[in-house]
Amino acid sequence: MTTPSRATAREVLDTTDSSLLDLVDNLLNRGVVISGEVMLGLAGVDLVYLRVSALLCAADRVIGERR
Amino acid sequence: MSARRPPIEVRQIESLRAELERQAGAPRWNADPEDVQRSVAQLVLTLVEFLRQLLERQAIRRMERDSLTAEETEDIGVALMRLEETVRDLAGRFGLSSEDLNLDLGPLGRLL
Amino acid sequence: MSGVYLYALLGGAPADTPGVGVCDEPLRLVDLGGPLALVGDVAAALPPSPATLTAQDALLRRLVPAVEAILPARFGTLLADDAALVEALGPRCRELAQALARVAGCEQMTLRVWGEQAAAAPEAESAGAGPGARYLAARRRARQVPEVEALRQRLGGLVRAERAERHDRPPLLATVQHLVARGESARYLAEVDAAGPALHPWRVTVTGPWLPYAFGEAA
Repeated sequence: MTTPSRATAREVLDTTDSSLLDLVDNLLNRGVVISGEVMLGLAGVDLVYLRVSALLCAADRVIGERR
Repeated sequence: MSARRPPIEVRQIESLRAELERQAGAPRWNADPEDVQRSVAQLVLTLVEFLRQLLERQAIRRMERDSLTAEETEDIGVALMRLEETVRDLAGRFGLSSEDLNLDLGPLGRLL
Repeated sequence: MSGVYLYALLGGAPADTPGVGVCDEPLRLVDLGGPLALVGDVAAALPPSPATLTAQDALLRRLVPAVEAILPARFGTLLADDAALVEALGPRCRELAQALARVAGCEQMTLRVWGEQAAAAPEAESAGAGPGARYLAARRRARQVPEVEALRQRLGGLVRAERAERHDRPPLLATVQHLVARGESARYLAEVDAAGPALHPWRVTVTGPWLPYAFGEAA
């Protein structure tokens, strides 16, 4: 699981072609996110792998329709 | 896919790029050893903000479907309003902007 | 870090073999109990660049004639193995099946809404609504794009679904994605052209058709 640096983001966005910008928007900001994940670190050491999809499902059950 | 529409202005492109860069460039979370307290606050507030938006979306959906009573609508509205104020106040105290409360989730994407 | 790279979710098996992925790896399908995951076994996820993004989009476009329902995954989705994929998707299988049904036979047009200022939000609250109800109504308005209402009227049933997002970063005011039936994009573009003057003072640019990237989630 890689995350882009700001430099990479700039490189990808370095265009004046609005179609290419929409391509970037579609592929990097949209599309199905299978599981929200983030690696949490301290002092440069990866310590905790947090998966948000579990959080999403729980929230769904809590606030879902009750009638 | 063809861009057969008239080309959009440079200024329009620039604002679109700025918006996409804001969305796509969020960093991975790593506690700043100089200020662990601030980093932890950032993580916690980001998660709370994530949930607040989820709750807000769901509340709006139910309001639109008319599946909330007037009293429920009022109560939920007040609760969400207070939650938003609280997150903003706490973030301010740690010097965090709304953009700071935007963790990178999914392989490359933004959280909110 | 090698693993299973997810390209998209499919509503059914393609009419012919899925072909190869962006690393020239053979593509294969993983059954999620309804939806199918289109994956490839890769040595590493490629970093985003105009070339890799274009290649991934092109790969999915090639599938369109052979598959009714395709939901692209976000670029860079790499999982450890098939078991991790099934575990990650299991809880959402029903929602994903609903999303696939929603986008079956459809494609996406992307509108960007431009102007120097946002449309004034109409206050339509009934008198006597409390602060909570007013707040919720305001939050709802913040997600809407009234600037293109004239265009929506023209498009009518051409639009199967809409996703909208305000940016309020002038001149970029908002983005609207419209889900239309495959093959309707020419008609859609014609309506956008015709609606131009009616949208004044706001302007709209459009790209597409795209695969239905924005329609994986419920509204």
